[in-house]
Amino acid sequence: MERVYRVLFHLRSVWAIIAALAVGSILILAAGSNPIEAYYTLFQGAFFDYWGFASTLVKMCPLLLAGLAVVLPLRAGLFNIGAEGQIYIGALFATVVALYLPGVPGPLHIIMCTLAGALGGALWALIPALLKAYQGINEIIVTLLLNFVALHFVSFMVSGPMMEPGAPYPYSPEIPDTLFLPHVLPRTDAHFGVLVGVVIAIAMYAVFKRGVFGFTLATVGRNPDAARYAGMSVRRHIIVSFLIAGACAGLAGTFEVLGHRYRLFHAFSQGYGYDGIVVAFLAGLSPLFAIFSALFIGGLRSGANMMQRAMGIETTVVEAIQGLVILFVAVSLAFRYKVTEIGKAIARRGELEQALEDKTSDGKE
Amino acid sequence: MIISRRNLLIATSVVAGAGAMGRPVFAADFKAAAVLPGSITDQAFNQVVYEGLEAAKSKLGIEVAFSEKVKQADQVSAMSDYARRGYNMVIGAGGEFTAAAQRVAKQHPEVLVAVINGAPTEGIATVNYNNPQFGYVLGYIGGKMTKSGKAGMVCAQEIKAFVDIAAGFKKGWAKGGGSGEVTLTYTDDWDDVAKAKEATLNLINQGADVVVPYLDNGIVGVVQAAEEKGVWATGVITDLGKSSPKANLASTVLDFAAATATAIELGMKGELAREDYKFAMGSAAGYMGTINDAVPADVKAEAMAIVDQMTAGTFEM
Repeated sequence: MERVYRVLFHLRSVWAIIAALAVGSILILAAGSNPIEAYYTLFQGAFFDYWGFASTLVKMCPLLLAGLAVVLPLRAGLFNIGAEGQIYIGALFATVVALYLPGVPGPLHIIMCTLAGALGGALWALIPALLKAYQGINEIIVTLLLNFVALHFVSFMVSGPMMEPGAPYPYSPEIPDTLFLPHVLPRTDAHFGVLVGVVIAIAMYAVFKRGVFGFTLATVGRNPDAARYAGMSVRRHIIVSFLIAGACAGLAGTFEVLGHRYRLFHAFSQGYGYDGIVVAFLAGLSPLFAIFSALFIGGLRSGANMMQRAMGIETTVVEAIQGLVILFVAVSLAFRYKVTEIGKAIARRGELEQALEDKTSDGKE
Repeated sequence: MIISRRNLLIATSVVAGAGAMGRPVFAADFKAAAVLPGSITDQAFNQVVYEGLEAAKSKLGIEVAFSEKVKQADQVSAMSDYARRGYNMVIGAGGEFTAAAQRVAKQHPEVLVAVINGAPTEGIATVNYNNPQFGYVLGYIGGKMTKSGKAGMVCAQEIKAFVDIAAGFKKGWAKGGGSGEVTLTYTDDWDDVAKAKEATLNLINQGADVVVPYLDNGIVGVVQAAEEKGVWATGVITDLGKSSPKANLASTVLDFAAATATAIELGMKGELAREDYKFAMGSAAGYMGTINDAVPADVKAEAMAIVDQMTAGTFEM
């Protein structure tokens, strides 16, 4: 019996999504549409329609990379709330290399842009890592605040020095079309970046499962004192985990520019970095499951557009449903199996049964 | 190309004769989509374009679709999504769509991409007004009525349509006798009422006694500020004489619904070339609105004479 509860409990993110969709159906009813039909359109459009699935993949790419940028430092017990800012700086670095290094042959130039983007994200993540490692300053606050610095810095760059002349909105000139990433689905926007994301996720999973770094990182996260006693440098692990996380997020920004938007826009990310936190927690901090949770959240976003288009449901309703999913998942994660009343009751019941068993065996003797 | 009530027919037939345009498509097969930056219930630009889309649907019996609240960074993906799904015509609603439209047109040469209020751009059709004329008339009346000699104009983004209106307004303002400066302000938000109001109050504090909004929902904020401070407001897009008769000095009407519907109809008939179309002052899609009763009869008459010249196509700025 307890095992059933345990499985049900581990699926709590799924229950949360179902509950959110159930509450969302009330909103759809209020908007005058049929919820079942609406959700059918949403999932059909997001996963079983060629163009729709392509647009899901487009959204999945930054979500997955941002999710990985959250997963990795959490292994060491650190919160990276700064993926959003790392996305912006990564995109900025990649765009600078794309626009101001002409004459490099296409494929090499793409690799240089990609490396520059990863470097940008990593450098931006290095700031909170150093502050945490050497000064003990709260990384949650530093990463969060640096998001705004990055956002406004990019805004400044694209509305000033890098602005397309005569543009009505802050954005950079278009990057040369030799730099456009190849597409994974013909005639769509779904670009190569999503494959890179999946490969990184699998690599991260392998390292966590079998690699030395994965093991030492988990040790640092679980018990820093023991790790230090065993000769592992806690500081080094903090810095390295943040650097890799920042590079992942930087890649998310890079691929947004090279694969999809072809320009650097002011405020282009619209919260991919924050949604990465949802992706990470929905995946239970597993890089492998992050692939699926990023696919799901991406599908929710692209399917919502479809639902709006097909059913005429206002975008505000769609946005509210997306918000509900995030809220419900977040709330579900706050439940701790051991400390909930249900968990305690189950534990007591287990103890009682154990005691009964002991007693009956006693009686026999 | 200038399109007005009188020469619309001629213009259309001339266009029909010109080359480089889409093949005509039967109504049942024709699909048009509009991508809108704001909400279709904003009681301003977005709503009006949406109404034009719906009008085209019921008049022509074609299939239409729209996406609302599309952010600048998502314009290309929203527009190319329609292009891929076989829409024959994809419309970007607003001058800020010009760059995105050009990219989509490049990738989907088979699709007619149009931008309402867009800067004339190679490869796309832009549906415009003769904006300097609309600005000129309002500037002229404002210049006659101002006491401080200063005017202020509020827009969200520096798009070509507004820049042209402002240029015309400045010329009309000087011609009418406005001695001081015409200041332009950008709020970076088409809908934010509070921001628009604050920007307007700033302009008024700097001495402007005629304010000109070129916004969506934000118009409300400009008019509120004008009413509170007792200065004139002039409407460019909608007739402020109907919504705020007291503050309204004079208004022109840019009927984007008619412009959108006309563009779609031309597109369906294969008569919308990838060029710039301009609706003149006094056309079905753009005309003079209400002029306040406080404006002296002779000023009114002068303004209307200018409008008549513009309609006839004889006006020289």
